[in-house]
Amino acid sequence: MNSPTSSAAGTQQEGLGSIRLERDAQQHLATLVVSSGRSGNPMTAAMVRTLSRRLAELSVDDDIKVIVIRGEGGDLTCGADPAEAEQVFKDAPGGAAKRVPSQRARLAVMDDLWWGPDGLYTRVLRCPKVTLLAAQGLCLDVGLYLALCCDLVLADETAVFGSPRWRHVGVDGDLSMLVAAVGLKRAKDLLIFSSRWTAEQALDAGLIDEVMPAEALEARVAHLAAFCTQVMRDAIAAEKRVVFASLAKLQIGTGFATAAAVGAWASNLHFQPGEFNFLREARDQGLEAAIDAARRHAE
Amino acid sequence: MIDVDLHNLVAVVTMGDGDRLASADIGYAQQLRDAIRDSADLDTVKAIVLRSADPDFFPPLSASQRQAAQRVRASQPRAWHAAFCAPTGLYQNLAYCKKFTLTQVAGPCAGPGSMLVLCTDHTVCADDARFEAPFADLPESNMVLAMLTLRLNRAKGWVLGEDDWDAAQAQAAGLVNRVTTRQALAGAAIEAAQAAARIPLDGVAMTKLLLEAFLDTQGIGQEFDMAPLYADALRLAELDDAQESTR
Amino acid sequence: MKAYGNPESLARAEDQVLLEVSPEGVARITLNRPEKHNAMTVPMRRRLMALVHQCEADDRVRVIVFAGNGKSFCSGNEINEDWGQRQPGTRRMSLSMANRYASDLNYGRQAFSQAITRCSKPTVLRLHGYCAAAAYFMIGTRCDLVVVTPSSKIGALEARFLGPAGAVSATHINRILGTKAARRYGYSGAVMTGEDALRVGLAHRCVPDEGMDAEVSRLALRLARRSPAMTHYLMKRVRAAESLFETNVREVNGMLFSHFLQAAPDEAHFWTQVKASGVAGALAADKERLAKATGDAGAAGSAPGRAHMQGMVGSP
Repeated sequence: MNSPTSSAAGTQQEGLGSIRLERDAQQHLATLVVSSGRSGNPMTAAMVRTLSRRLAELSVDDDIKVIVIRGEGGDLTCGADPAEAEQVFKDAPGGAAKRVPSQRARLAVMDDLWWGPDGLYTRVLRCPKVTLLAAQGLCLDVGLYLALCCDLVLADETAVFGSPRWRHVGVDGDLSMLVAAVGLKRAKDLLIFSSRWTAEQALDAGLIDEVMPAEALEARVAHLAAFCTQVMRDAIAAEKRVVFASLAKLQIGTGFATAAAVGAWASNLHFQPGEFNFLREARDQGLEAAIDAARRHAE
Repeated sequence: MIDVDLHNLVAVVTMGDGDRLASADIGYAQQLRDAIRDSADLDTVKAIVLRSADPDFFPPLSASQRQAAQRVRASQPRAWHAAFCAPTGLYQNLAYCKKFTLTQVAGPCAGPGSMLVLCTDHTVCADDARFEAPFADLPESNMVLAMLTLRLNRAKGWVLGEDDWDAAQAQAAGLVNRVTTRQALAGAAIEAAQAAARIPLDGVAMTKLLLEAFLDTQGIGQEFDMAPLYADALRLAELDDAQESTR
Repeated sequence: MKAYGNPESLARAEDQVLLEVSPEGVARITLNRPEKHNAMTVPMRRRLMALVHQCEADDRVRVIVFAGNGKSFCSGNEINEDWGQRQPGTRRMSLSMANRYASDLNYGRQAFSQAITRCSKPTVLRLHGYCAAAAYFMIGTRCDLVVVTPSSKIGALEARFLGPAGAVSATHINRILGTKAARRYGYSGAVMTGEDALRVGLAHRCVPDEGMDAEVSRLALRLARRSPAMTHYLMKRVRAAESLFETNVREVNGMLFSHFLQAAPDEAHFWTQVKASGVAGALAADKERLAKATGDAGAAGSAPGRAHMQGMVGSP
């Protein structure tokens, strides 16, 4: 995907992680690579904001028709970095006024990072270019929503989709995209009753488009992207704007607004005596350890 | 006779004489509604499994049951509405239940049974299950809910096609989540219920809050609200049919 | 209402859309322009709409079957039609005429596709061969029960050179296929086979070519034999639910743009190509461009992995 004629690629280093841009004007293709350098590829708030910014820039880049998003190191992403969650709230306006971050700080974060006009999910969903996700390994939380909001999703056999937050805390986020993709009862399966879907399960449910061996993914992504770049710019832009109108029919806008409100409320969630405090464990020990501990607690 | 068994954060509601729903038995609908609602009110319950006391979930309706239902709807419209269609009624209490709901189905699942299946979050069935569309018999059945669950054309195929769905078809369409054997059925339902019950109590509340808000953005509440009009239309159709047959 | 068309298309429409009603009450509306894969002229669309309304008013009719003579059900609208939309000396279509074109197809409640989607009687589609472009939008995704064969070729197959133009955005298509499949087919312009259509939930049945007539007949007769009062009641419920679900209400979509799309300097414009080398020439040039683009990408991976669609590779 990196052709000799590509114009300057850019890497935005954000602390421990990066969002790398590979831009190929000749092929009308841009690739955004999520790379945290850590196991599971967690995304920091800084990485999320950079990814949103890059999408905004590519949205007005007339040479680019298709945007590929992928992870590095075998995983797309295991989700937002739990270690910094508390600090992100504290850094938001009104977040440090008292010991516990205020509702307005939490709401600001929900909007700013995910659901608001400049939030990541909105930037992906309302991108006027064709978006193509190359899914590998863990596609959890943020990874799942990238799969929902991107137009096309190609996965390899290692990909798994789901949300540990839903499993161990409760469902937050927008429901309308998932239900519109797979139907209500299947959606509830992923929301409530299953911890995650394998790539095959995701394909059967209608969440993703194709599954293939890991070694075939890169070439297939390139092929599909090239296919889509054959469409006129005017045609892509025209259809995209009308899609945004029809998303309203699916009540996506309501879903996003509700998600922001409930997401803020959810961070006040109180664990009963005897219930496993997943959020604290994830913050202190990391996501994988928290999932293991939760399993042991259940047994 | 409705039995409620509470164990390990799961309420198992067993319907004895469940086919009384086929006759639009108002008292029975109220009892079943109460069993579900009262279970949902308990902090010690996070998931509710609905099953039949009989080996088969819901046998096909007889002509006399259909006629009895018609009489109930015609002679006690307000009571029927309150017991079946309204927010206070059986199906909306199920569809908007504040805890997770599951159905466990084996053998025939006639119209009223299929409406219970549609209104629950998760369904496990045996490989011999057969699902009849609920729309011909139940004016309070929710076609928008079917469309949101099955997608548009599959829902229309079920409504118009006249064929019951077997277990494989029901799973492919998304009406049913899991197919297993009769022997494994009860265990599978409990397993799913317990998986859901691991979500913290506040999380259950948050999940259901989100889901309920979502359902009404899709037109499901509005469709329930239309049920009395549909009942009138069905009565006219039934009168037409009766006149046709006496001609 | 004004009847648009040129003298030839106006004169021939009656022979190109046929109606017969069987004794059991099965109405069959058949497109009869097999030499052009049943491509629909403006008068043909108008006649089809009128026949649907006629069947609705006819108490004998219990169910309506749509079919097409020849190798395909329908390839879409007639693209070479001059139906009086251009003023002498003008090169481009005016906005008001483009609106008229789109209105006729899918805009406004009296329009072509609305006749089918709001039909008070059940509709069955006998979909063999191609069901593409306008036939996909207006009929294939509007009929209640669709019967296909493995060799059916379905979709907005013109999407790659004319743009998706509603294939991704249309609410009814999203609610039938799911949002993911709508995007997959709409942005790639890939062919949906009959088996794809069954798997994705568009088709009610997929049967071998030789079994098509028997299956359509069986379905139609079952619908026709059901009590008319019950069928009428169920159809009222279906249409009410579709209204609540917003799948049969009008919406703006990409069709309105298709006449005004401008090719960038490095892009090919389909209509310009057609003028230069005819439709066949334009399609051949498109195929060549596609092969070059996918070849450039270094993609040996032209065989897809497990997927819902088999028609991805190459042009339709």
